[in-house]
Amino acid sequence: MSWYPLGRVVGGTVFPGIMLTAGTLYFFLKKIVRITVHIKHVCVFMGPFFASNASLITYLFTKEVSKDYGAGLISAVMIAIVPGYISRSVAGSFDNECIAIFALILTYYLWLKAVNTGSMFYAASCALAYLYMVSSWGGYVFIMNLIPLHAFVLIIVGRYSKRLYVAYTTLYILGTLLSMQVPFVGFQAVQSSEHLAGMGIFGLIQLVAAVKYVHSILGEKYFKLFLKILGFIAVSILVLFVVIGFATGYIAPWTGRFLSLLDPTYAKKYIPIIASVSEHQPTAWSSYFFDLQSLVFLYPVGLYYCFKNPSDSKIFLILYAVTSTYFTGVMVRLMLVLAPICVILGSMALSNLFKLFAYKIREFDEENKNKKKSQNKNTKKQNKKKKKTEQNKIFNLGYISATLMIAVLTAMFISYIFHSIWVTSEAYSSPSIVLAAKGYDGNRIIFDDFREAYYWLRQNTAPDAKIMSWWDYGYQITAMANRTVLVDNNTWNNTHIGTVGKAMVKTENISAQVMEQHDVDYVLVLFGGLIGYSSDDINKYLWLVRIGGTVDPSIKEEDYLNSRKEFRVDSQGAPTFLNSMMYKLCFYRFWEVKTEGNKPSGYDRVRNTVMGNQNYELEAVEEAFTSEHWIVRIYKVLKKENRK
Amino acid sequence: MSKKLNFLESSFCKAFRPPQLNLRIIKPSSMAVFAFVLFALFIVFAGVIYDLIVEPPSIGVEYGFGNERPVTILKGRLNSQYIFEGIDGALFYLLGSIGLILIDQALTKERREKYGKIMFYTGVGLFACSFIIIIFFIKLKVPGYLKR
Repeated sequence: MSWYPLGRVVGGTVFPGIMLTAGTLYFFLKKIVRITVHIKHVCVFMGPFFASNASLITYLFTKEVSKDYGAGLISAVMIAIVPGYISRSVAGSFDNECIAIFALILTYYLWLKAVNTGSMFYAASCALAYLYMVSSWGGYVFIMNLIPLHAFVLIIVGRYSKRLYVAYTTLYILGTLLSMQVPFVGFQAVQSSEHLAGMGIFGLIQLVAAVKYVHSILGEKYFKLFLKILGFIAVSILVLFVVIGFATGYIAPWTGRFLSLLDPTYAKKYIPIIASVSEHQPTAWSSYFFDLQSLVFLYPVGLYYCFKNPSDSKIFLILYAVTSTYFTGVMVRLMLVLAPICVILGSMALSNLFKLFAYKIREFDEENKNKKKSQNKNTKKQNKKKKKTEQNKIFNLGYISATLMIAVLTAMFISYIFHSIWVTSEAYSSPSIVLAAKGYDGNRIIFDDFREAYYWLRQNTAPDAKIMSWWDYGYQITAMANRTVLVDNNTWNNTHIGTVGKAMVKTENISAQVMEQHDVDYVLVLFGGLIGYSSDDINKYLWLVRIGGTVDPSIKEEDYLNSRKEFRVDSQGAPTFLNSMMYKLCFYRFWEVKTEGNKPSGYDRVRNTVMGNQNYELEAVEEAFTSEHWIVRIYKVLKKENRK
Repeated sequence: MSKKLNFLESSFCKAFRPPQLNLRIIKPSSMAVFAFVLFALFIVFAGVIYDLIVEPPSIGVEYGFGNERPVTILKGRLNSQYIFEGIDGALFYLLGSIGLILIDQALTKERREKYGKIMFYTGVGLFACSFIIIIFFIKLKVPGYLKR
């Protein structure tokens, strides 16, 4: 059971796409192809399988937009290894984003096909692909706002056509109806503000089509009168609709996660839980190069080519690029959404540049053939005449220079490959449950504390024991220790997480009361002071304070900082912090341990100081288990005595 | 029929009289919009949103032998920056792209030969130097870049 004691309706609160896909693949392999595989292997390899599908779809997408086979091939190669996408599609990463990016590119490809051909078949297939996308990831809101934005920009720029009308109307109606079949979305598709743009543009496009139809029937004079009356009626209906919708509360305003994309400082002030996730941090300049290498240079060049020869699909690429760049700037995890468009634009740019130089080489070869055939005397006289008059001509690049430039571009492409392979091997494919470090003489030391602790829990506690820990470890405890947790990675009940935070940062008495209310049997904390593991709970402590402060106003961040506004663990730390439950749990008996030769005992290797509050006793809990390198520490909650 | 429409028109115009606005619809050229988009890209690549939320110092300080020396690049961590460092990085990204755009402009438009040559060689130089400088910056930030 998750989220004790609230419980959780998994069917209505989870996107079912990835589970259904894994189940379908397993069924297909087992029953139809008759190969025996374990469901675990299907799940592990789904990431790479769908990444290769995404590569195929990107080839089709780029070919559709640029009509250039070469660009399509380059884009397929680049998206196969671009680090921004590989981080979410390595084998073993069974998360929504594996299939979501494939569904995203598929939906956009079918949308562009529908707009370019005006066929209802492609628009209906786009609606089906949209359903697949809605069932897999919360980022479907991006599609439902980008496609209406594209339609709107096409109308403004003057590229309205019957194809656009057919494509958008079919897609909106079928897509909305289909997306409401997913239980998580339900009526949000017509109620929440995130979907309003689609509805608004739907109304607008009907209006534009009607106006153009009437324009073709009426003469000029009466058409102007018609426009005035129609404009007045339309604006008044819109205002009425918006006012009534928001006043009665039927239309919900933008919610937390998506509002923090529009106003980046919103989460920092009001919702510390969203601000605390490290993936939700804004992006620094180096992450762009790290995740996209050569593509950051080629991406504006691709945009330049789109602006040079605009068409309906290229305007879509421009809009996708600009919006996704802004959102990537707000949250680093959205680099995933920027990667496909960078690859598409970058490959278009690279292919065009290659072509420029290849044509020069081809021209040079043809000139050579022509020179041998034509007479020499006439050409020499003509050349002398041409040199005197300064004519405007295209810069004639020499054969050697063109070959050199092709070599330079190929070298850049090769460096992209080496970079992607290095980044994947160093940064995006280490397991986070088993840690490794290099010892003095270069050999590897393995820290297997997490699995050791979870298996201890599994084998030495009652089957209905309830574990209280910070939400980062909820899924791991549920899966590996097979015990009930209070909060896990998917909990969106902020009050519940705030209560757990309060229990961790208050003193032992108040914490014992909270734990008794929630029937907690064991408390689990992470402590990295012995080996220098810096992602432990003490480094996350201030986030616990901020999140606990949303539930209990008496918890203030200033109380936990010392007089110089520093967060310190030694004797100069704030007394509130040194007496809090989390400090006592993490540092219990650490004063007996000598970590480094020349330092006193109790030296914390992460904060690089000696611990402050020593030689205390625990009253409400007793120590149950500490893993080999003191990373995971488990405490048993003592029941109160029956009589005082 | 036309009398009724005239009556409708006159009554409508008397009831709702919009002000006389002499509006011109501004249609910027596509290259002007592209320049604006490039500027917006510069702002985002420079990590301005990171600066707004995390509020890092504009330049780091290194203490040694009794004096303070400024440090431009935050070493060691990947997803953090100083304000100036962000603007530096974004500048070189943009210069590299502008180099490639110059190459394309030199080879596709008809102009005097001197200008064609200048554009082409400037473009090549900008792109090559920006790429090398960015790799150098990243080696400072991420120790062990491209090493096992």
